[in-house]
Amino acid sequence: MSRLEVFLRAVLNACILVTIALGLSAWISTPLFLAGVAVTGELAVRPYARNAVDRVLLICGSTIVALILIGLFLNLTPWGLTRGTWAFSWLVVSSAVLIWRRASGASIAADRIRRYCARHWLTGLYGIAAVAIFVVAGIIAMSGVRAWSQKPMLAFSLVSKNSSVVVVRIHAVSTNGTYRIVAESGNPHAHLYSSPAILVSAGAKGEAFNESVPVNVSGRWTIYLNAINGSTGLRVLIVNVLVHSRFPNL
Amino acid sequence: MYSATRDSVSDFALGSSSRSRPLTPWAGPVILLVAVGALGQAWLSYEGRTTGASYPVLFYLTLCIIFTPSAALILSRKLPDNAKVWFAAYMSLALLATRFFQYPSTFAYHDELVHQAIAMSIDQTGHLFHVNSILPEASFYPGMEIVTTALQHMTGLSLHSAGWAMLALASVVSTLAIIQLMRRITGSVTAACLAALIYACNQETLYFNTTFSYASLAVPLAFFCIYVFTLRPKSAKIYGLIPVLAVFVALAATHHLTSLAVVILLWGWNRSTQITGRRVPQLAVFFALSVLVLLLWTWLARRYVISYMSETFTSSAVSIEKLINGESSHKLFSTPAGYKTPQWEVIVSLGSVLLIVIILIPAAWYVIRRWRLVTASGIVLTAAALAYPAIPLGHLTVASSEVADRAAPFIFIGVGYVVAIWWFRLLSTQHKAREASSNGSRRRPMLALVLGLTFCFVGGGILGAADWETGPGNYMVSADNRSIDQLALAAGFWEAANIKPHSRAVSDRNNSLIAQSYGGLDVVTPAADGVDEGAISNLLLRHLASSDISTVCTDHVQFLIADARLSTALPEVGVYVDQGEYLDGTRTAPPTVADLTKFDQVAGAERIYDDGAIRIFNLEGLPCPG
Repeated sequence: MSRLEVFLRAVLNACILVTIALGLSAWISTPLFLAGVAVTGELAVRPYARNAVDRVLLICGSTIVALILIGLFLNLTPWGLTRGTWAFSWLVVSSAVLIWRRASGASIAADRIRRYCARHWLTGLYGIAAVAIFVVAGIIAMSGVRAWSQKPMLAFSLVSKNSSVVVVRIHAVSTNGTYRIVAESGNPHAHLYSSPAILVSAGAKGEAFNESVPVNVSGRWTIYLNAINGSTGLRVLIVNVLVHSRFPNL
Repeated sequence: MYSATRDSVSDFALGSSSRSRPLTPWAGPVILLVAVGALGQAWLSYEGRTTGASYPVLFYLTLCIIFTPSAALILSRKLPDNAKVWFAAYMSLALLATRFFQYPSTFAYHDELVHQAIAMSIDQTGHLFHVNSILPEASFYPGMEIVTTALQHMTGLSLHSAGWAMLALASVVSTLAIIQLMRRITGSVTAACLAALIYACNQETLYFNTTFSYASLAVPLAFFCIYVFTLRPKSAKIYGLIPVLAVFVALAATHHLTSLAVVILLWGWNRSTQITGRRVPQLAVFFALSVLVLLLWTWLARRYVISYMSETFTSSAVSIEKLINGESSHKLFSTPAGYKTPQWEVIVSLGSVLLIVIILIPAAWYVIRRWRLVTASGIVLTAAALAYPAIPLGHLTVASSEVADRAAPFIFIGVGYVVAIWWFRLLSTQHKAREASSNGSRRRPMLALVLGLTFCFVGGGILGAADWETGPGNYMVSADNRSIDQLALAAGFWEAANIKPHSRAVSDRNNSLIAQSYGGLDVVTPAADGVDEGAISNLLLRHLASSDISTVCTDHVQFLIADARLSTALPEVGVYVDQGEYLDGTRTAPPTVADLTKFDQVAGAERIYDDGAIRIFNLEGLPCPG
């Protein structure tokens, strides 16, 4: 292996180490990591592979095995499996392979690649078209997911409660309407709370807001979210409230 | 240690004849067609999500657009050997992509969500072996999750994307390992590719082995393990076993049943070498070491894995006994909720089983008659092929069908070997006869082979999953992927934001998965907590009884997640919660909404979340003694 090749491989490994350690965007780190694994893996399995198929199989298989064994080892360390320990492991493994195989000669000749491309350029064009179709397929599938996650939803939930107020949350997606929160308790001293009209105009991205419901007696409160021009008890919460009062009956 | 060596003696010496030919002009259009098939699958996924419509005929048609032209091209004589192998890998990746297009943003199947929770716990804690309450033994086989979280950390991808990257790697390893192994055994790339195509017809290829589950990585690792062993030069000393042993350790750390299957296979191979008298150096040593590794790992996971495996085999035995005694209530091609497989699918799936049996009889007989020519590995593969009837017969009961399905990849490797050997020998005999009479077409048998493969591929797909399991669509009750909708996910996200992590919760099968993997809650289960399934399921499925309060108190249940939609239908998978639940096996009607939301009436319980379908109850205020 020439000094230049060793240097370039070391630079690639260092770049991967930096991207892992810094946690850079997947758009940068993924291609870099895949290139690094391919280059390091190819160097590691070079003497054992008879042909390109063997080479790809051994690179993929040994990468999986190496990751599992490294992961089992990292679990024994106090630091465990973290981004930092994986970055350090990458440094150790890629450097070890580079040192181990430093005497290995390059097996890929530039003129062979050139000849291959000249023979298969048409198939290559079909391949590019196929990749484009796969990308379109991915976009279609993801647009289905977007449409699916934007289906109407109206959730009513408890946020917090104290001796005088229960805070509830309305979370709506693709829902429009006017609602009212009504709170009541079985206790005869409890007041009946009815909120002003609440306008919900949630688009596909959804909206969430909190509402405070005043309570004046201890006990079990039922809080309704009613549609003003529709059904009552659309959503219901049941909350136990403990009011600290000078008058225990209230 | 290991080095590039020539193929060992191959069975029947099926030679390859097209090593240096240029690519056929059909290669490009087939590459494009495969992508079009995947595009069709993406459109079906879009339609399923937006309109709820499902098109089973189109679903299999688009899969055939991927499989059939690829099979025709791979088996044609006009393609160079290496190109055949790359096409097989491309086809398997395209088939995997079709699964990705069904659920491109989240994991949706039962096992996927279990493994997602395990991967997330590794990511959060940095350490392995945190017990997963839904499938506790899976936490002790974290190989797949290690690879996924490693890719996640090193590439910056999301867990879902890293999981699919891992599956793509596994798919490449699986296809190439099968081809390279078969190439060594048969001596022919075309025969090896045919074996890989036959393997693709097994019912696990399209569904279970493409899900984010430990078996999806373990099966490729098993093939890779055997492949690495065959790479070992005969002269290698004992330390030459280090690489293959490393692969086996990785396999043992990934899946229990698959590593056990490899040990059984090694035992069979070792025994076969004694029969043939052709010893394979260090095979016995590797077998012994693999047994040792398997035992050590089983010891590590003994608390959960032994009971899991014994339950699996015991329930299979019991269900088979029930079947023999005529007490089985299992119905083929239908679910307890009333779903019935369309007639054409029944015909195709049964037809494919019949076709495989019809082909297997002369093929296996051909190999058996010439057993002196067969290598020891060939004998093992033939024995695996002869076990094929166990797959359709296993489907006669629910419990045994799971065992049969898990065994399918190994059995289909054998089927692939036997049929490939027989087919190419038959073809060459016919070819010679035709040359002698100088008439007839050479294409006819190949056309029949491709059509037969397509038929079996579709049949295998139908056997593997019901139509509703294949992709997204309208909500269905207790139907795994079809029960994970935006309402259920919203509840899961709310749990994560508002409930203390690792709080103990009870829910139905699917909302339990969401509570665990999205909500960060610990689900109370018999497997992890030793609780009684009947009593726990009563909290959800039965009318209110005084024993419910004591169950909540005894089992420290803090939250109950009730999905009112369970009251609309019987469960597609047979249970609302799990086996042993209230009215399991005798239920004729779904639980009422009043039963599901009975804690509205219990003093101390609070309903803290309501999205119209899902209600979450806080049971911490229930009056427990002490």
